[in-house]
Amino acid sequence: MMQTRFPLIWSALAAALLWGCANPVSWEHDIHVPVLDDRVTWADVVSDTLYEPGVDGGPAHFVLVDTLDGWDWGEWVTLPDTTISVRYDGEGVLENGVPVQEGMPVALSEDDVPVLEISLSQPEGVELTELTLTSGSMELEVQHSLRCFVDLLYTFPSVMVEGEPLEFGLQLPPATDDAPGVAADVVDLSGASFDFTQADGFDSNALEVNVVAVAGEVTTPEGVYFIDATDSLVLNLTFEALQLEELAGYFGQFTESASADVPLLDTVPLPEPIIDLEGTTAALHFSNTIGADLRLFLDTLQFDETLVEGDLIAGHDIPRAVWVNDEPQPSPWSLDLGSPGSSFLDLLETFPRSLHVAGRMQLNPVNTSEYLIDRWDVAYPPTFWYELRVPLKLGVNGLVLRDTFDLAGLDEFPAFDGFLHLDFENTFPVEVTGTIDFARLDGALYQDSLVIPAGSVPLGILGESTLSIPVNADMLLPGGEVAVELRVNTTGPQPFTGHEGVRVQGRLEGTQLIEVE
Amino acid sequence: MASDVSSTLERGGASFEVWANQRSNALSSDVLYTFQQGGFLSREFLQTMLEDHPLLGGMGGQVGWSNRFSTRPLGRGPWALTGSFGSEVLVSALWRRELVELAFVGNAGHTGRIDVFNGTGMRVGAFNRLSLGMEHKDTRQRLEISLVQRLAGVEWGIPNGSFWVSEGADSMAVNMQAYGLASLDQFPDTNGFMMSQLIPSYGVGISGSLPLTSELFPLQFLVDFQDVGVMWERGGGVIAAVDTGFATTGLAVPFSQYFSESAVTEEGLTWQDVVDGTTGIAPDSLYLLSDSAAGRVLMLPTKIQGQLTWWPSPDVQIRAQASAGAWMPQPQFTFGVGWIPTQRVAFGVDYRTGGWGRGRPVTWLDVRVTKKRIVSIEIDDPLGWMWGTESATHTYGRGVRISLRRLPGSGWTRFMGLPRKDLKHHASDKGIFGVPVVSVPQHSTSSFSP
Repeated sequence: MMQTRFPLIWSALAAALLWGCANPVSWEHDIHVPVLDDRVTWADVVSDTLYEPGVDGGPAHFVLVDTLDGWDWGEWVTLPDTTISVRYDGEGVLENGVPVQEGMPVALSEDDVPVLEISLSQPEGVELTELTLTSGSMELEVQHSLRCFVDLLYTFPSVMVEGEPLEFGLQLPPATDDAPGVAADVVDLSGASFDFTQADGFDSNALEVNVVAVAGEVTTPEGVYFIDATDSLVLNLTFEALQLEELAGYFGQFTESASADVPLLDTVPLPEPIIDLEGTTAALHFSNTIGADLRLFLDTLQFDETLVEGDLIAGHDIPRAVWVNDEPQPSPWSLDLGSPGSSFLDLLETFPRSLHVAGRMQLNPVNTSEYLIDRWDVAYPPTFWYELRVPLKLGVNGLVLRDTFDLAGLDEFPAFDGFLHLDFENTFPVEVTGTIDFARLDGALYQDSLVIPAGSVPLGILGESTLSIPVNADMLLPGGEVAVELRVNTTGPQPFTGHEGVRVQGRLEGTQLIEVE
Repeated sequence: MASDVSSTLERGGASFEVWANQRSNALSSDVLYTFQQGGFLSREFLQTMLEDHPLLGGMGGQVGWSNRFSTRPLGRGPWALTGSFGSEVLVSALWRRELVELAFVGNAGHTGRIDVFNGTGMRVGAFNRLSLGMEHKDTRQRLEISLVQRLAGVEWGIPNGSFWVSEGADSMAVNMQAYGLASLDQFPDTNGFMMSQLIPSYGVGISGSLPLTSELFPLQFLVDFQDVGVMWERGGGVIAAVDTGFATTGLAVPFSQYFSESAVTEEGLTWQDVVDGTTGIAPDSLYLLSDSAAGRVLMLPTKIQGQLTWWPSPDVQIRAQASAGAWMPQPQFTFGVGWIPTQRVAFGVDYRTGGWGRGRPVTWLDVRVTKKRIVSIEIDDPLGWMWGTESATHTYGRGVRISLRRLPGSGWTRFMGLPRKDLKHHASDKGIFGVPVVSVPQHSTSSFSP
């Protein structure tokens, strides 16, 4: 019984729900909603890294601060690959006339064992006392003329790896009538520290090395071999890809050139710009973290196509850093580019678009090699930067900000009729005139304009204006091109605080027709 | 109180009734008829509708049927087996007036005001019920255990929602927490809805009737309740939830590109993002949609009714009735007078208010078609049935209840009113005050009108 009656219930319910939708119904619907809120501030014109808002109503500053990366400090801390050869021969270290016996040390004259002397071609006159590597390797190749196997053990007492003196061994095959006995190996020197002052008679650039050679099986038919004057044992050490971490001694004299281009006002093309540079500061800064003296030669300072003249083009000595508790205390250095003897600021008033800087940096302009007091921790690279601070007191006459964009035909509002009200709030101390042209694709042209009064941030004055744009199906359906144009005239330089802006709020107010099928 | 004892105990009363009604406190028949006719709704029409709209509007509907029976008393005792079964579909919808204003008029007229949507929601449920119990042949007191099946249920609501636009229309804030539940084990696919997708739920309750009749005065007080209990809604149903909000003063336009080719980073959402479709907002991310709703315990759609009836004379009946439940947002009260001019006919007019709607008239008619059978019909808001006519303009609903009742046989107490009038032995009656039997109110054997 229940089963047969359920369809009746569902049918009744469905009918009750459906009768309400029998015919389409429509009504008018009034809406007031915010659709747009935006601000045009200095950050939209100038990157916020390029200006500092004023404090307590003071003027903002256009600020250019950036590093000059003309010098690749990484190159300075890479040692060139170097090969050192040491020869032990029968007339020297190898004691000739002594028989070689299996299991016994090959006779070496310890007094004649040479030290490893490091000689670097660049920079000139380098004398290292200490060195720590971040990475690098040493390739070792040994050749000998002895007719026996030889087990070699090298020890470098002044090279420490993980707290232990560097030590490595090689097993050399016997030489033959036609070829020497040769063996090679590669030693990783990452983290190794070198002390170049331990070798007797040297206070730099030398490493002590100890060698123990033990004879193996003798391969002569007689089973006995005597070292003679023509025998030799040659050690070739090749240092590869040495990356420095810390170094001390004397870094030699070295000069490297560099240049850099600094973009300046490449943002808004300003017609008839006026700038008041009173209070402008321009400087070059160098933070020397190297324990060595530097000398900077500014060979070229050029705005666009015009050279800066004055007493800037000279050698500027930059003192060395001082080490305190194993850390460098940088030695700051600055050069005032706006000094009275320079045309730098005069040229800046012409609104140059870029600055070209070229120069040379000389390491150790004065030879201090006798003191061995240079020092550098690569973790503290030197920094070279420029700083330009210009108070925002500028004027633009006839500045036109113009943009056009295509508006596709909108059919989402088939019966909307109302307005898009654009409320402007201006705190720039200048009057802004705006025009809007809407050229519809059906040929109609809609134009409107407004004047936004000047405002003032220090005085808390808002320049307010509203532009009401009719919005309806006739306006939006065809689509077209919208051109927005803002004209600014400052009538001479005006101080800006950096907090100025234009706020645009859009309200859509109107009536739409809602239809429900 | 004594009983009308006869030597042969007969079966108790029985009834079959169907009912349907629709009522609103906000949408008049004129409004609904205009919507039905379609066409353009004038602002004047909508303003008139809103002026008449309470803060919380509602509309409800019921469609159902019920069959009730009582056996002969068991053994020699006074208790008989009684029971009923039936079905009912309940629809309940509530909405805030602000929501209607926004939908039909817009927000232009009340910017600066917070429009609150809390309490808006809708429920639909289809129930089958079966109850069994005992009924006392003398006192007519009845108590039953009810088993209720909710065959299908849909629920949607906004516990928390608001919409605000500032007076100058330069700021807007929207907050929305909404949910939807359906007793379906999966989303209907392109093949449409199938009965096998339904997840029925079951509940247990008690039903009963407690008539109290005065021995001194022609008064009767009746308490009737149905399905007082709980239902265990099974898990696994479809659930959707939205919890989102935003505040805006409008979207930005990337003006900087007009002024500079430099890479000035724009923050936040812009109209350009909307045009380019790069807002990063996926509609799916705004709501939770799942077919694994957790099970829960709900109240059954309980109905409770109290009724006081007074017969100042044998031919006149005055009654006051209060009822609640059945998802009605407010208690419903009925006051009325009836006339029993003959042994075969009784009719009356009531005034009913509360429940889903406003005050309206109710008319009823009892006709004895045989010695023991009475056909009753009750028309709730008769003018509401004149759909589309001028007479129905100011009505807010309509309802009907039709029942066929068989009076209890000999040995059972009969209540006063038309049922007590015996066609055969009318001449020997001692009057309604001398025979302590009263009739069940005209249409309330097992359930009652809302």
